[in-house]
Amino acid sequence: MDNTLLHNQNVIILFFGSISSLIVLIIATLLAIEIIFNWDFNKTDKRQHRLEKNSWLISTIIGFIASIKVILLPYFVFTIDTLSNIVPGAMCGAGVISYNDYGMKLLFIKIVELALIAFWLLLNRYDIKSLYRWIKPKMFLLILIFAISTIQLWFEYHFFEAIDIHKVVNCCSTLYGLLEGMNPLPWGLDRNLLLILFFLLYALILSTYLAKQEYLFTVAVILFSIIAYYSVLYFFAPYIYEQPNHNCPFCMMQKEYHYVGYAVWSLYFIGIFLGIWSIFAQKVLKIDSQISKRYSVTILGIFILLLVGYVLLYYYNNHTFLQEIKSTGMIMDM
Amino acid sequence: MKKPIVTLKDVSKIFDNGTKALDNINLQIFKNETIILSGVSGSGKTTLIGLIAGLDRPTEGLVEVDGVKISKLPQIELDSFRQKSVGVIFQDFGLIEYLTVYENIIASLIPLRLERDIAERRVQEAMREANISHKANSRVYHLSGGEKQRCAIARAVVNRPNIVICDEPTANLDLENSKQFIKLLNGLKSKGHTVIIATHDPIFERLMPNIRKITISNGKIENSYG
Repeated sequence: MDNTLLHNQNVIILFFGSISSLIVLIIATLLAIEIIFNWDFNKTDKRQHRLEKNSWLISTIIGFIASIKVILLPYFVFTIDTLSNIVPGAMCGAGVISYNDYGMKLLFIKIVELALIAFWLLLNRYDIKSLYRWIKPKMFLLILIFAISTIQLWFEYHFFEAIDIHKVVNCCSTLYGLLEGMNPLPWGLDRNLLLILFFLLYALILSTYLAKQEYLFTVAVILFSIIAYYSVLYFFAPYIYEQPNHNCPFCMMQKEYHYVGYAVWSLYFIGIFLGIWSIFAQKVLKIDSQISKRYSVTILGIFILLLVGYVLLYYYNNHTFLQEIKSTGMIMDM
Repeated sequence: MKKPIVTLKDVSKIFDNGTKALDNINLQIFKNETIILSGVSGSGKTTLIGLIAGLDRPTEGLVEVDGVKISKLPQIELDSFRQKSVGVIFQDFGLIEYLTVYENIIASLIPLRLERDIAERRVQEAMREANISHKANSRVYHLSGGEKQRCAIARAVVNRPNIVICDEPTANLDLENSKQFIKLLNGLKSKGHTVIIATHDPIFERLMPNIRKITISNGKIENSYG
């Protein structure tokens, strides 16, 4: 009997999306290589006109790939969550993705790939406005995206191919639960300090945006990305689940929690991405990046409001906040 | 020395089926000049004005309009340039039949994102210029050929372009309406527009005797005089 998940319909759809986007990406990469070697904007000969047309074709291809990848990333998360129903021991996507070494790396590569594609599209926008000033870096970036897409497909195959539906995996409480005496937070932080840092860093993002302090803004965004990740897992997630010892990043994407995880993580990644993009736009492209910063600040603000909303909702319903986990692992209200 | 508003340098156009529509065209058109591009059907007139209007791109060579190398512009920038700098009057008018004259004209201002009162003022001016104000609220399918032509003129000039391009503008008009149209073209010239007319209608040579005429044959400029 075939124990792998390669024949699962969701997995087939994922492969279909990845392979079809890789095929068109091969075409774009070949065109990009020709542009790198032969581009001369001052020329008006047939080849230069053809290269200019090809550069627009590449933009269209990347736009097409972006629209596929933007669907495939949440679909991948949805798929691993769905697979938790047939993989023994898994309660959500966390168990499935941690089945082998490929899973988390694959998710990371998928996020990086999508971020690079978004980066390419933004760079393309400014390249067009500046009459191809960034054409060659853009084409090199395209080759990097091609390489990452290829690696992504390789990881995707090995991840799903290795999953044996008869082998028991760990559930998310084992993977993300707080064990006695163990502190999962970085730099020895406790939950209170984590929460204070979370709000302070957002205040720093907001104030550096208003004061137009580019470098401080970027530092604040990068630090916030780390602190916010842990804050979601170890402070806000329990309020979403209404269980103090439930810290899974995947369960919140399930129907029981109104798929709120998709909103939480989308706001998180888009807000961080725009924050980092803005410093690149300001310092490298030499363009005013206040608009991307404004979007970043706004999106991260919505991210915080959404999370705080769950805390307030819990308080409204229960007239108490969740208490820190006791060493026994018991759930208690304050 | 007068500065050209349109420059074509070594321009060729070969279509995907291998047809060579234009062959090594070199041409300069100056500000406030009115020129006639004449030639038989299939000679390359429409292809040439398509390149000047930014509706198509050359296979080879450079097209510069109003100081901008439009053959090098990315499509989105080209669209934006065309909206601001060029007005085109098509042979079949290219109007939306179920919209009114006013709606047809103001529609071409939408991409410019003007304030409403400025846009309306411009539409009123354009309709006055083309002598079609009295039909502002009539739907296009109720208009005669001459009225449709005037509506097309108003639409072409409403964005205040430096260049107005006409492709066989009198092909669907009777003699009287053709004369009216030429009168309107002279009005455009007096307001500073550069006017390029692609036509094989001899009425232009009769009624506009002092303007430059360029004859195109088999994709090449055969002669230029005037």
